[in-house]
Amino acid sequence: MIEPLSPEQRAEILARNAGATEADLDALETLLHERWGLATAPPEFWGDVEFADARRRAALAELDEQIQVRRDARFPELEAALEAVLLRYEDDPEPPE
Amino acid sequence: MATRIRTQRRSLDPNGPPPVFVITSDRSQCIVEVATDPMLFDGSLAARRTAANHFSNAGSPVAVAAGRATFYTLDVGAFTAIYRNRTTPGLYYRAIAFDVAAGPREETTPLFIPTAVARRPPMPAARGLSGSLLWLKAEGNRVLDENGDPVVLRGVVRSGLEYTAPNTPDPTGVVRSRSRTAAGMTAAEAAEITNHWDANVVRVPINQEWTLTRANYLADLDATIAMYAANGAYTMLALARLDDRRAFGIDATTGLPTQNPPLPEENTLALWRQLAERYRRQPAVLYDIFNEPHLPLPSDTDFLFQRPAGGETDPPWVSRWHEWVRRIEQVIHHQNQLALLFVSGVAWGLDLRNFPVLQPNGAPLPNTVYSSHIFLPNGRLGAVTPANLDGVFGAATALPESHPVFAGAWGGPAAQLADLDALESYLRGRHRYRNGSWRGGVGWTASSWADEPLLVERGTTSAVRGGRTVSWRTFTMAGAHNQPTEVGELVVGSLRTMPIAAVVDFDRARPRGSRNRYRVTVSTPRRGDILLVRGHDFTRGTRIEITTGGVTRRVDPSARLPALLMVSSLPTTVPLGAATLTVVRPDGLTSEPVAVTVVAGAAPDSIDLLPGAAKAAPFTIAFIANPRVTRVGGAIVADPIQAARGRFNSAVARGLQALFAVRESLLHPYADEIRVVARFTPPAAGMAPLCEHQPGGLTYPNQANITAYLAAAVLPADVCYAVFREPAFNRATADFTVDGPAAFLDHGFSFDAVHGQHSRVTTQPGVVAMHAPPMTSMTPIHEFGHAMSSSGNGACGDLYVDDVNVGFVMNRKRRPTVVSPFPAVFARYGGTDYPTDRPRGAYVGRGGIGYAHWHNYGAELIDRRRPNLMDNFNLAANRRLCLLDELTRRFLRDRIEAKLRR
Repeated sequence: MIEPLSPEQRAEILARNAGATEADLDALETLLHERWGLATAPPEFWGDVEFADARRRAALAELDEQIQVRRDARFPELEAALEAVLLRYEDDPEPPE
Repeated sequence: MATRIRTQRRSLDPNGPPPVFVITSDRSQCIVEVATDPMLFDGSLAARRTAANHFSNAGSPVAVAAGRATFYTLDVGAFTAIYRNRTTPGLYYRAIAFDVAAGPREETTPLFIPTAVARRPPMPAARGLSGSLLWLKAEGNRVLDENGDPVVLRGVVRSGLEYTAPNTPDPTGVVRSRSRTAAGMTAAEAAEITNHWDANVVRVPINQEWTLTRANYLADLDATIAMYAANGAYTMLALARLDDRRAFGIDATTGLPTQNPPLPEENTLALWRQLAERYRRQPAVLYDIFNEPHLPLPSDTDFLFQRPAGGETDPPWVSRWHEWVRRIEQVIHHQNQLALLFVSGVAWGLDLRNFPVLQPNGAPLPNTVYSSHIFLPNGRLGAVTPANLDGVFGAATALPESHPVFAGAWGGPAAQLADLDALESYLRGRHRYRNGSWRGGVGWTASSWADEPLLVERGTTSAVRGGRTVSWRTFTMAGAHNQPTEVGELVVGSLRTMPIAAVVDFDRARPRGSRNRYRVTVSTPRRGDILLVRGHDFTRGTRIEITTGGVTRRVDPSARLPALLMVSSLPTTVPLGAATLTVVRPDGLTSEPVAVTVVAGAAPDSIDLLPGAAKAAPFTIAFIANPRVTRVGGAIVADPIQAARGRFNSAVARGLQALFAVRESLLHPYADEIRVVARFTPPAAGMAPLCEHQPGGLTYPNQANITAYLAAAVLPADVCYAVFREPAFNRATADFTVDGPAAFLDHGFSFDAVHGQHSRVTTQPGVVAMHAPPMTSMTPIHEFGHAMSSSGNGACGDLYVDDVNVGFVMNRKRRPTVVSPFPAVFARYGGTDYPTDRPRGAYVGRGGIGYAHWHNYGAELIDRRRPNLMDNFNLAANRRLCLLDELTRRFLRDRIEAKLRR
């Protein structure tokens, strides 16, 4: 469902977000996975059809808010870190075997 | 007093004098009879008695002392003649007592005296012979290795060990003390067969008596197995001769005695018991239990039993062979349950119409492959047509659909080249998937390296030694290698063409020596666009060369698959106009040049990278350039990938490479049945975004919008990669396949207590939002694992998080507490228990990552040295070596095969 973070990405994220810890990053990862897991859950997970969509939207909205709060508080430079790591290698790809 | 006869000792000394018989009787005279088989005591079989199988002192009966025991022993010469020819581990005897020659006689019941078996130390388990070869097993109609990958065994028959006596000249004329070396079976030859001819199996006929009685012969077998295994080839030990003395009639074809026995004998059980025990730990050894069962020839005087009514393929004869197969299988598997057996058909190995062999309870024999021998021309086979070949391979009884089939020997003279070419094509069509189902073939061994019909040229030479003319057979060399015969040229071409290739590029119209061609086809070379080169056996390091006006430019592929080279963007430095293109392998093999015209201009919107199966709805993987994206905050804009076609092409190349050309072989067996298409079109007005960025650096695929996009483009896909570009949000994500409705369900499965069915169709494809370029080389296949699964029919989740499972997740389970023990069995799927990936000893679990304080755990890894591909593969020293676990690979393959079957 979600591509795993590499050690280099984690190091870059923590370097660019002062005060954030490994535990903070793990907690954010857990939220991201929980959010995507619910987004891709089978329809029957949400119970009876009549209210399934509403339940789903409510659950996702709550997680979206938690993610945003945590990201803003601890990892305002998270996306910049990911970009920096990608740009370091994108023009020097691994050759095919 | 009734007549009684017994032996003074309880067993025969194999190196000692004849036995002493003790006779008591109230008659005055006694005839003593000794035979290799009790049936010879029957007067009706008197015509079959010879000095080699029967003795009687009827010409001078023993005078029996009244009331006392009388001792009698055979003449040494008479005893030796019978003992050497015995077919059982002992001899039979009886007495016929009488008073007057014409008077009533009293006959004793035949008795048996066994040969003494010395208490011997356990057979030395030959160590280290198998190199890195994996165990093979028959599963359904395939042979799989330990990783669950289907294996195709192709190679040659290397005869010689079954008839070459020690202390005879080798092919160079040097007298060798061992059978193996006298036969010329050297390490150099083994390397040529396995590396130059690319064989991964060598069928080695063996001699039963030599195996049972000569320690040096066993050492020869060990050395042979080790030689081939060192080069990555299995050794198929094939019982071809019972000894070096007996003939079994005159071969009508050659007019010479044949040493091919019609059936096994009791010592055959001892043979296989010994070899199965000796090679119990050797995956390199395969067991071809008996070469060519056949009705005994009319001229076969060794065969003692009454010939059954009917012909070769009639039940009375077939049942006899089946009974031997059952007995031999029991003997071998009692010693080694992992042994893979090869069972020949009847009618000199040809005919598999009356198979499989069943156990008394009706179950099929375990771990057994059925093997046909096809020598052309063949009157029983008739014309070499698919229908006739289907017949001998048992297609009428669906044998290839339920059991693996093999061609243990095939060949013929050069005059049969066209038919042999057709036979090779037929066999090639068997060892592959078609519409998601394996066609039952697991390979072949062509006949023969050293004997007629030859695959390499041989001659004969002689020299005078010690006043005698000594002759020996030589091998004809062409440089450093053996000179192939015309048929050998076909075989080596086939071996060098990967099993999954549809055809061998063998051109009979060309002169001998140039018939194997290496040709490729090329898409239109367009500057700045994708270039595709199709062929076969593109090994690591294969490159492309484009020559214009005498100047050659090297172009390295962006993706190298075994049958496809992809350049993501043809350099603009390649001159326009006429050119020739060749493919050059690191071993120097160069394709025939292809005339091309390099053009410029707009690239097409869509390109089929892999064509897939030739049918209306092949299994399809699509890579599409995302037209529009939803940014964080909700704004919908054109995706930057639309202005970066080169990056799109590169991302597609990476996707291809990850799916079809890394160590994880999930899709490899189906590469010729899967369509892969790349589509790059500008966004139409109002086109819905296929991806959306999310806080945390992720990008999600919008499955509903992607499904609608594909429908509008008339591009049905089973998995779709929406390729986008936004470095700050480059983390790929995937959503699961939504399977088709109930009407399209394939075979059912059981996963623990869950019963489900894999579906042939897809309602909504599994989708991946993938950045151009992906962050890692393995991102595309990791996400494919998710996208190929189904949230309703078994989701494949991430293993690097300790999340609670939502719905039916097939590759991840949860312990009640972090200190709860790991169960031994992770899950039972399809009747097979798959172990848990548990910390044990120095192993901490998760390929070295460990479980820390986790609830979640996964199934046992194929490779415990590195993380699961669905775990954090970034923690591996070389992420391209990461593999799925066997359960996930099996489960996903079942889903893929169900869709391939539509």
